[in-house]
Amino acid sequence: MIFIWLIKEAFVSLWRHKLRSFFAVVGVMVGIAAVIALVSIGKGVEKDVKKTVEGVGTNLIVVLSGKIDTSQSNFNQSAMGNPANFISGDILKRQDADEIAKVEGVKAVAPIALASGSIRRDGQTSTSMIMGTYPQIKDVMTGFSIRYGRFLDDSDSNKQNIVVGDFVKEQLFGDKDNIVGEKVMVGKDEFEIIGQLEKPKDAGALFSSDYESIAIISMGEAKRLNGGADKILRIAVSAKDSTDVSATVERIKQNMLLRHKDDEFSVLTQEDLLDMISSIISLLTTAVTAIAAISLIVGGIGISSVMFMSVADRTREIGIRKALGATSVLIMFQFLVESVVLAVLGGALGLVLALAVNEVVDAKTVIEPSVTVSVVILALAFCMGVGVLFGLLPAARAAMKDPVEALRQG
Amino acid sequence: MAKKEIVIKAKDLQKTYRLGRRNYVNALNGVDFELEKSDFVALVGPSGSGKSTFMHLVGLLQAPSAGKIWIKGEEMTKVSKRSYPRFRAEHIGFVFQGFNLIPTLTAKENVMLSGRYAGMSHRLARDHAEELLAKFGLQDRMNHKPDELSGGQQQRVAIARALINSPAIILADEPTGELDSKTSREVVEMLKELNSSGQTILIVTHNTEVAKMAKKIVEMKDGRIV
Ligand SMILES: Nc1ncnc2c1ncn2[C@@H]1O[C@H](COP(=O)(O)OP(=O)(O)OP(=O)(O)O)[C@@H](O)[C@H]1O
Ligand SMILES: [Mg+2]
Repeated sequence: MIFIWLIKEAFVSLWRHKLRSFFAVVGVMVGIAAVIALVSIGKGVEKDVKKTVEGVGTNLIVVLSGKIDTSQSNFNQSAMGNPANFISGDILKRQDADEIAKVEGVKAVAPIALASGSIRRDGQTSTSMIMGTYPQIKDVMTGFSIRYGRFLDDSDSNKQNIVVGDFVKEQLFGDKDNIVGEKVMVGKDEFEIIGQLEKPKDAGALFSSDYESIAIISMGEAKRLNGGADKILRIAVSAKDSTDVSATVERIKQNMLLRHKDDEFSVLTQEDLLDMISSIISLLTTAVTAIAAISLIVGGIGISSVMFMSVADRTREIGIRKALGATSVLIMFQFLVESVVLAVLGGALGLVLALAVNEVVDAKTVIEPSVTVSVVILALAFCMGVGVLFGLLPAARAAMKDPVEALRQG
Repeated sequence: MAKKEIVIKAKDLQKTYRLGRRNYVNALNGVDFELEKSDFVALVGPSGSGKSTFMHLVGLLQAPSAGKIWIKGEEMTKVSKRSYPRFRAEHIGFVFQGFNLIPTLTAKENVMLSGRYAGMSHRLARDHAEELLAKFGLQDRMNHKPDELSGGQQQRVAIARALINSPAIILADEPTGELDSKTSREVVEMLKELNSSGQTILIVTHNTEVAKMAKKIVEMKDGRIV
């Protein structure tokens, strides 16, 4: 009961100095807004990645050049091993793909190479990347589907045939819907569009743009465009049985070791990728939290100084209250409640601000920020802590005021 | 004749303020004082004679340097100081000079505050406050903030607030100090009326006209009663 009374009194006295109260909470407001917005954006990205991975299929195994150690729970710089290996495209060979195809438990294999050159038509250039791969890529990654025309098959291995995503259509053909049969230039060669990719429905928004921004040609054509080099970025593998993925990964590693050193390649499952992305996000979240903590401390100092001002202003009031029988503890409590109300109010404003930011992010980007109840509760609890911590000193000063001195003032 | 009841008794009360290592002010130099129930005493004397200091000591707002104080027969200088706030709330009603009210609270809330500090429930405090304010002709001003009230109205609210716990005594330190003579007279009339129904009152005043309205006048000079 006394609590409700104190809270009501706190609101009344804060309202009396609206502007001052507002300035007191700006710091806390911005801090809380930053935390909630960034955490919810992080959550949105994570959700999106999960959706993509699930869309692509849990049977997917990826062989990469360079060493990525996923046994470490935290993904960090040192876990990336030699960055030179990581970047270099000339470690993985077609032979690796062909050998992995023979490994027990492997259903299909497709190397993915980056072909040099860009797609042009009538002086316009598309930003699409050109990938060389096997027709089997369609069986390895479940994300591909065709809107018009057909996908690559074995008959295309030495033909200038190309399958394109939506970027090529939009950037080079404008409004035209079906561009199958049209011709485009890659380097000095003319390619015929034989198929158009459809944006997958079940992939996350962040990664579905991959399917829009790529164009696919045969591995043989890619090698020719690259002047005879494979330039394989990764080898995509699908396992026959989703329950046997880790054993298959182990066999692929053994197979790769026959031709490569241990630190030249990595074999990752979708789960590994998911874990990695999650740990990158949680690393970012930690950094954000640290920044937010600092801004909350700054906000807390703001509250503290406004509370000190308020205590000085209300010296006579404190004297009267004590004369009327308020104990020092009650006075202390009264001012503490006031600073907690101030901090929580700041947090609530911050929450509103964060929701507004999320709304903008949602509207302007593919990310859908997601706010969880636990984040909100945690943030408000944090505000309460800030209110108590930074209200303690001013409240103690109020409580210790001598009533006679206080009454003689003013 | 029934034994008279003493509400406040002070014996050899002294208060010394230290200003520096060798420098000090003797605000009170051994004051003996008795106040009977239902008395109405005006404490007068020149500025700096120690009137406010005396009020603060018997109001338990400050501890004496030496001497003893009894309130309603209990020797307060022996009791733990931790019980003072509650004792003040229950047994002593204060009225000060000007700016008596808490500016953020309404008239009614100001009156209720004393009740709440004395442990009254919200409802009881509200009912009492409304009753008192109505009795003092402030029924349409209950929900007004102090700055929406005249000086006289503010002092009436302060007196209502002092009365809510039916205190043994009202201590009023220059309650008319900031009022014009007509309003001053009204406020003192009100105190007089309360006194006639048995309320014990000790008032400090510079105003001889006000002092004359009390039953008794006590004069102080240089920290002593003369
Ligand atoms: N905190 C203090 N420190 C030092 N001296 C003080 C303090 N409080 C009061 N005094 C001194 O004590 C003496 C008595 O003061 P007090 O306020 O009791 O006088 P008063 O009779 O109420 O005067 P007035 O009529 O002006 O209100 C004065 O000389 C005053 O300067
Ligand atoms: Mg005085």
